[in-house]
Amino acid sequence: MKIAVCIKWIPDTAEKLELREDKKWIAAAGIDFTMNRVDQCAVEKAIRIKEARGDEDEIVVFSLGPSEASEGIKMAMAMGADCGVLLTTDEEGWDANCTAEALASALESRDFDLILFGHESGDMSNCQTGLRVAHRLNLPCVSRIRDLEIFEESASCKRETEAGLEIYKVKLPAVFTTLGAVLATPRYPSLRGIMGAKKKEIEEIKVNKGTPQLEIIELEKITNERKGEILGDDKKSAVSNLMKKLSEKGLLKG
Amino acid sequence: MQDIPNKTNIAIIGSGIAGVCVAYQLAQHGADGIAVFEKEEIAGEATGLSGGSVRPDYLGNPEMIKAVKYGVDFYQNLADEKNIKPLKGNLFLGYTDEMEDLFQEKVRVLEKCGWNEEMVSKNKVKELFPHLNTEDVKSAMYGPDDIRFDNPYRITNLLAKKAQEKGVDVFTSTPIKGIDRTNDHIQGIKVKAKSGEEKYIKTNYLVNCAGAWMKKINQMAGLDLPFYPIRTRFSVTDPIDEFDYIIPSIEGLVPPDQEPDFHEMWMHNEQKGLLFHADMYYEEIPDPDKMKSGFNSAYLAEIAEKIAYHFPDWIDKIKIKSNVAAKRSFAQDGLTGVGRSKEVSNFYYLGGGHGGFMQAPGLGLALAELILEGNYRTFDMAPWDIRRLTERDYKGPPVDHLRCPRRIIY
Repeated sequence: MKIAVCIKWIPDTAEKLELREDKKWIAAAGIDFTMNRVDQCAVEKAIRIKEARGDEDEIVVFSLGPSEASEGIKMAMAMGADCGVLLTTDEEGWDANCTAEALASALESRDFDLILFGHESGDMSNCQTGLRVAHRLNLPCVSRIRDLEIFEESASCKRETEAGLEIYKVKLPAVFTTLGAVLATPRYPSLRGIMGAKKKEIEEIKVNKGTPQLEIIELEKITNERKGEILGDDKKSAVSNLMKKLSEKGLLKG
Repeated sequence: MQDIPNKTNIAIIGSGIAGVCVAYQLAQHGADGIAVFEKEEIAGEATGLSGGSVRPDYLGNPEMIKAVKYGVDFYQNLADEKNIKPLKGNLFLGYTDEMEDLFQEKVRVLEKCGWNEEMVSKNKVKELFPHLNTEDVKSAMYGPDDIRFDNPYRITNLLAKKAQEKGVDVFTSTPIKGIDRTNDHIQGIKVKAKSGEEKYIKTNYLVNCAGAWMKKINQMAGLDLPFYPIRTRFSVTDPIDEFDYIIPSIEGLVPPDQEPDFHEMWMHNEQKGLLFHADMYYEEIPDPDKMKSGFNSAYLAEIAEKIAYHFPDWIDKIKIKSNVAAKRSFAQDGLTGVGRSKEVSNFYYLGGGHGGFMQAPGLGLALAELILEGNYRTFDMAPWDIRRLTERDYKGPPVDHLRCPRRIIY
C-alpha cells in the first residue's frame, strides 16, 4: 500500500506573531516554524497503519513551501516516513486552489491508495486543501476523521461532527482529512529515526502558483479586549480578594 | 500590588540568579532602597533553564574557586533552611591524555582551596553510570560533594523571597524603557509598570544583571560593553525504563585547544529521562526578543549521533521528548564579567561566562562590597572587570579552562 501524507510548514503557534509592514503577511524573521500539529497526527496515523500491516507499505510525505519546509518533511521522516517530496516555491500568496492544484499534479501519477491531510492548518485554517485535492483527483473524500481502519480495497472511518459521529465505508484510493490527537498522538522521534532521516532523500519539484482566486488585501490583528486583574501579591490576599469579588457578583452560595 | 517608588538607592535590572543574589547580598550588608526590576518573572529565562549545579567548572584561579566555594555553602545553608536536599556529585570525563594532565593539575589547585575533588578510575565511572559508554574514557575527575539543584527556578524564587523579607522590592512584569544618563552618571530609569503606565525612577546606583538583555540595557545607558546575547540548546529525553537511578551531573570534555567533537556533552537526570546538552557552538543572537530556537534536522541529527555514541545500549530506547533553547549573556573570552563601568561611575554589571548559578552568591557578595565600600574585600574580582576585553593593558584573570571558552559563532 502506498500512503501519501500532505503536511504544512507553519509558524509555531507558541510564537508571538507580528504583522509585516505591508500587512499582507506576518513578519517571519526570528519566528520558529514547525509542522502543522494535525498534520503530525496524520503522519503518526500513516506510520501506525504501516506498522500494523508490515514493512511493505510506503509512506511518502508531501509539502509545498520554501526550501525550509523540507525541515517538516525531515521531521516526518524522523518519525518514520520513508521519503518526501517538496514542491518548492518562493512565491507568496498561494491560495487553497493553487496549492491543491500543485499537490494534485504531484500526487496524480504516483498511484497512492491512501492520501492523508491534517484537516486544518494552524496558520490559515481554511480546511480546503485536502477537499480540493480529492476533487481534482476525482477521489472519494471524508473530512474530519477521528478513526481510520484499512482493509484490502477499502477503509472504514469515523467522521466527527458537532452532532455526533458518522461512520463510513470508503473504497480506496481515497483522501481523508484528519483530526488531531484523537486520531493518533504523534510519537517522539527515536535516535535511530533522527539519524536515519539524515540519510533519506527529499525529491524537490519546482512549482509555480499560477493565478490564485483569492488575494490577501490586509491582515488585521485582533486586540484582546478581555482584561486580567491581579488580585494580590500573595496567596492570602489573592484568595480573600477573589472571595470578595465572587460574593459581590452573587456567585457564592451559603 | 506594590507601588513603584519615585526614587531608589540601588536599582537592579534582571531577576535571574545574578540580580537576585546581588539584591540579597546588598540587603544582607544593610543597604536600603534596593529595587529589582524584572521584565517578566523571577528566574524566567536562563536561570530557570540552567543545570543548577555548583561544581569546580574550569576553575584555575583561586579567587574564583573561593567565590564558587562560598556559593556551595551559601546554597547548602539555604537548602537546609528550606528542607531541600540538593543532589550530590559531579563527574568530568576526559578522552585524551592532555585532559588527564589538566584534571590532575586541577585536583591539586582545588585541594589547596579545600575543595574535595578526586581522580577516579574507569570502573568507578561505570559504577556511577552503568549505562554510559566508557570505552574511550581515559581519565575522570569526580567531586562527590559538588551539589546540584534540580529546580534552580525554585531556589532563585526562595532567595528572592528572603531578599524581600530583608526589604528588597521586586517588581516583576516591569520592563525597563529607558535610562537617563548625564555625562558620567546615571540619574534614573524609566520603567513600564504592570498597569501599563511609564514611570521615571531616580536612582543612586544601577546594576545590570539582565542576562541576554545586558547588551540592550548597556546600549540604553550609552555604553558599549562587550556582552552579547547567545543561544544555547539542550534536549530532554522521554523516560527510559532501566534508568531508575540517580547519576552525578556528567560533563565530557575536549581539551581547550581542540575542536569540540562528539565526546563533549553535559547531562544529568531529568525526571525519569536524561537532560542532554550537546551544542558544540554557542550562537550569538541578534535580538533576544526574536530568537529562532534552531531545532532543525541538522541539529537534531548531531544530538542524536552524540547520544547514540554515549548510550549504544539505549539507541532504540531513547526518544527525544523536547528541545529547549535558552538565552544568556556571553563575553568574548567566555568568562564572567563583573565590575563598575569606567565611563559611568554608578553603573555596575554582572553577567557573561559559564556557570552563572554557581558564581552568583560569591560574585553577588563581591559586587555588593564594591558598590557599598568602593572596593572588593572578600574576593578580589578586579581581573574579571570587562575592561580586560577592551583595554590592552588591563590584566584579566589567568585563562585556565577545562574547556575551550571561545566556541561562539558570530
